Amino acid sequence: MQAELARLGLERAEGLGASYADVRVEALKKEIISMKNGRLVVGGGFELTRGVAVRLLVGGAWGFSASRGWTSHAVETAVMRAVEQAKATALCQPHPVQLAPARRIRDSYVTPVEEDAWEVSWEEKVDLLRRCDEAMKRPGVVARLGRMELVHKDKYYANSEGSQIHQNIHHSGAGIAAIAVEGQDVQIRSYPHCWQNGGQFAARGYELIREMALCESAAQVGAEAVQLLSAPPCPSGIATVVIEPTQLALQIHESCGHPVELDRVQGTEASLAGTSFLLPDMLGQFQYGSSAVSLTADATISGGLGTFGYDDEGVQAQRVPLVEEGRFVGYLTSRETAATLGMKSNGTMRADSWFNLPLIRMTNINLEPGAGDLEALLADTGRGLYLSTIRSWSIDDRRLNFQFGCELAREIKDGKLGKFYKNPGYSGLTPDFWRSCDAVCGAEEWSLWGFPTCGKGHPAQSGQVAHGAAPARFRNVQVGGA
Amino acid sequence: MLGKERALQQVEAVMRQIEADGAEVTLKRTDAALTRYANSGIHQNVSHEDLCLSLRVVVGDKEGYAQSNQLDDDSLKQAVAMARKQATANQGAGEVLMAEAGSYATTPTFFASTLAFGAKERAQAVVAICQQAKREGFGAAGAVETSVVETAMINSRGLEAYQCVSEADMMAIVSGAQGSGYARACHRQANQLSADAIGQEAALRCHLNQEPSAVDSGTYPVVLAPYATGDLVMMLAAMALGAQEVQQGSSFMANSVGQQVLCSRFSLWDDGLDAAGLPVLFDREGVAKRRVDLICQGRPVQPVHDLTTAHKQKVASTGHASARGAGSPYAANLFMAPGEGDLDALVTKLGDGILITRFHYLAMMHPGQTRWSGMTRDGTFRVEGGKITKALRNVRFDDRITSQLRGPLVVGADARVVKGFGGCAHVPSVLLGEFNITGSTL
Repeated sequence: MQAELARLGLERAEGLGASYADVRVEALKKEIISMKNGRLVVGGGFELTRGVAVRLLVGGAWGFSASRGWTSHAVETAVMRAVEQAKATALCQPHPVQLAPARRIRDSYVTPVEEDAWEVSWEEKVDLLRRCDEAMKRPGVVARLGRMELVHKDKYYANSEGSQIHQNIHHSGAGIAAIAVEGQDVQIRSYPHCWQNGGQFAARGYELIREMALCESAAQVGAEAVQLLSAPPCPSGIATVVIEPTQLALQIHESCGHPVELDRVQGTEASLAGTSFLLPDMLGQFQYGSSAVSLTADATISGGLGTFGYDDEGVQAQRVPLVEEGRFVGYLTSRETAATLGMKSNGTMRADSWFNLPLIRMTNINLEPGAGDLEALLADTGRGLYLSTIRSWSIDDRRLNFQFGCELAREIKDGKLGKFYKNPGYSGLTPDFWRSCDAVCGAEEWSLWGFPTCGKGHPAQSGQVAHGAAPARFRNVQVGGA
Repeated sequence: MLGKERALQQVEAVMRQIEADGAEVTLKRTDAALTRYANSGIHQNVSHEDLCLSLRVVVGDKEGYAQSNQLDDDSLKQAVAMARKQATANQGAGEVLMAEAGSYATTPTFFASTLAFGAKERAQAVVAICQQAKREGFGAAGAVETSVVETAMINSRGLEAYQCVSEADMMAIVSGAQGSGYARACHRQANQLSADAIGQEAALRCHLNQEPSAVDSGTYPVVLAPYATGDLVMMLAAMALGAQEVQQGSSFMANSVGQQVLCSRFSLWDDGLDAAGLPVLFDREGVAKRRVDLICQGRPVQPVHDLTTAHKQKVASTGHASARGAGSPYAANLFMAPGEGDLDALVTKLGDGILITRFHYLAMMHPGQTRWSGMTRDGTFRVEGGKITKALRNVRFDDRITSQLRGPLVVGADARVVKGFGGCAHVPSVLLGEFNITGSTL
C-alpha cells in the first residue's frame, strides 16, 4: 500500500510540472508511560498516526506538504498543496535549487532488536516504574518521576530518480529522577541520563531498558537528591574539570553537532536557532580543539539513536569525520547544501515525523576514545572537579559562548572522587574549551547517549540523535555555583 | 475546517464507541503553513493538515490514554482498546479528575482573514520584508506562519467544548556585515500584521547594530525592549507561577503571598480571554479561561491551577493545564500592567546602561531561586547620556528574576504581544536597575 501511494504521488507531481519529487508514506507508533509520585500522568499512553509527505521542485523552487492518512486523497491533497507552495516560493527565490547527485537505492532496513518492546506487557512496564517510584521515596523528595517511551517508525520513501526504500526504525528509552526541595532549594538527580531528556534512549528494543537496572539505582537517585540539599555550592573560579559522558554528550551536541550542520552555516536556521562560527573557508584549516579531540558523525554505529539505514533523501547512512586530532574537517550535509560546496550528501536529512520536512540532523556525533580508564585519569588529575549530569544549557546563536549547569559536581582530591557540590556550572568559548582538552579516557569508558528531542527547524522538530564519549579532562575552565 | 457542529458530532460518535465508567474525547484539527526565508530568499515553504484524536478512558478509578490521527472504525477500535487495556492495568488514582460542564466566553478567536492568507500572501510578505532590508543594504531571514486549530472536547461529566483558533506570525532578522536586527508580530488576524512595518523595524535595528564592541562583565542598569520583557515574565511564569511549584514549596510565591517582595510598579496577570493578547477559550482539560491576578503591585496574589493542583488545594482550576500534559500548570496568556512612555523614553531615563532587544537560548539555572541565564541577540546597545552610542557584542547574563524585579523598575506603555515558552505575553519595555552580565561572545 505504501509503495502504491508513493508511486501515485510521484506520478501526480510529475504531471503538475515537478522536476524532482520525493514522497514519504509513514506511520508512527508510540507508547509513553509517564509516572509521577506513583501515578500515571495524563499525556502518556498509546499513539498511532499515519500520513503522507510530498516534497518537490517546480521550476527549481521547493514546495512541501503533508496530509494525514494513507489514502489516495491524502496523496493528491499533499501534491496539490506542495505544488502551490513551490509556485509561491518562486516569487522570492534568488537561485534555483541544485541537488548533488545521489545513487538510486532499492533497499530496506530494520533496526536490529533483541527483545521486541511491543511484546512486553503494559503491566510489566508500569510495574517497573512503580517499583522505581517506591525505591526513590524518602523524606525531602517531593517528586518522584519515571518515564518510558517506545517508538516504531514505519517509513516508505520513493523519489522521482527511482529510489524506493522501506525502513522500520525502533527506539526505546526510559529514565527516572527524584526532586528534593528544602525551602527554595530544588535539587534533582536523574538516572541514567538527565531527566529533561526523558532518560537514556537508543535504537534498540526492550533489552536496553532491562540493561539500565533502573530499580537497582532508584534508591541511590533519591538519596543523592536529598544529599545535594545539604551539599556546599560548587566553588567558583578557574579549575581543571573531568566531565562524565552524559554531560560531555551535551557539550558535543551543542558546541560541535549543531555548528557543523551545513544548513545552519549557510544561514537557513538564522531566523530561529542561529548560524555557525564554522564557516566554509575554515574547513580543513581551523584548529577546533586539541590533538586529543577527534569527532565523528557515525550513523552506522550499532544501537545509536541517530542510527538508520537511509536518510529522508534516500542517501545511505555514513560515518564521516568532523574533527581530526583537533582540526575541523567536515560538515553534516544534504543534497542541496552539499551541491553548493561541490560535495555529495553524507546522508543526514531526517524529518522527525511524517508531517515535517527533512532537515540536516545530527546522527551519532561521537568523541573518539583516547586511552586509559577513569581511575587513572582522576589519579593523574590530582585536584579538580568531576562534573556530572545535564541540568541546564545555553549557547549563543553562533555556538561559541556556552554555559551549562550540571546536577552534581564531585571534588577531585588527591586523585580520587570526594565530596558532593551542588549547583555546579561551567562556561566558556567553544574553540578555547576544546583546545583545553588534554585527555580523553579509552574505549573501556566510552558510552553512547541518546537525545530524543533535539530541537531544530521551524516548524519545530524533535530530532533523535546520540553522542558517544568517554570521560575527558579540560584545563583552566571557568566553573561556578550558587 | 470542520466547524463546531461537525467537530462535536465526530467526538460524540467516538464517545458512543467507548464502553467504560467514564471517558473524555478530544479532537484537534490543525491546518498550518509556514514560509521560511534566509539570505533574502524563500528556502522552505511548507503546509500540513492533521487531526489528533485523544481518548481518556476510565475504568473504576483507573485511567488509560490513547491518541490517533485516524477516524476509521478499525483505528478507533484499536485506540479505544489500548486506552482501556492501560486503564485496566493502571493503579487506581482514588478520584478521577475531569472538568465539569460549563460555559465559555464568546471572545473571537478565529478570523477568516488568517485562513485566507495563503502561500502567495506569505511569499508577498517575505518580498516586502526583504525589500525593506535591501533598501538599507541588508539581507533578511525569518518566517511567515499561519495556522487554524480547531478543538472539540466532550466528557462523561457533560462537558462540551469547541474552539477554533487562528494565528498569524511574522518574524524578521535583518543582517548586515557585522550585526543584525529583529522584529516580530503575531495576531489572531493575519490582516492586522504589516510586513512593511516588520521589515522596517528590523532594518532600523540592524542599522544601529553594526560594528559591535565588547562590554565588561558586571552589573548594569538595562532597558529591555518588549521582546526581552516577554521572555523575562514567561520565564518567571515557567519557574514560579504554577501551583505545582508553590505546593512543593520551591516557588518564591510559596511563603510570600500578599507581601511586598517585588517592585510596586510590577503587576502581572493571566487572561486568556483578553483580545489584546492571543485569546483562547479553554485549556487542555476543558476548563474555561478567565483572568487570574498573579502579582499585584509587587505582591504575589496566587498561582495558576490545573485540575490536579486545584484538587490538592481544594480550590477550582483556573484553566491553566499545561498543553503538554505532564507539566506544571502554566500561565500562557500573560499581561503586564503598563506604565508611561515608549522604548525611547525609557532609554532617555536609563541615562547610562545597556539596551537589550531580545534574548536567546534561555536556561533555567535554578528555578527555586528564579535564576536564569542566556544570551542577548539581534540588538544589544550601549546607552550613554540617555542615547544609544554604540552596538555591543551579544552578552551572557546570569541573574535572579526576583532580584531583577525587586526594583527600581520603570515600566513603559509600549506593550505588544510576544510569543515564547508555549504561550505569549502582552508586555511593554521595562527599565531594570540591575542586570548581571557575565561576559560577551566573540
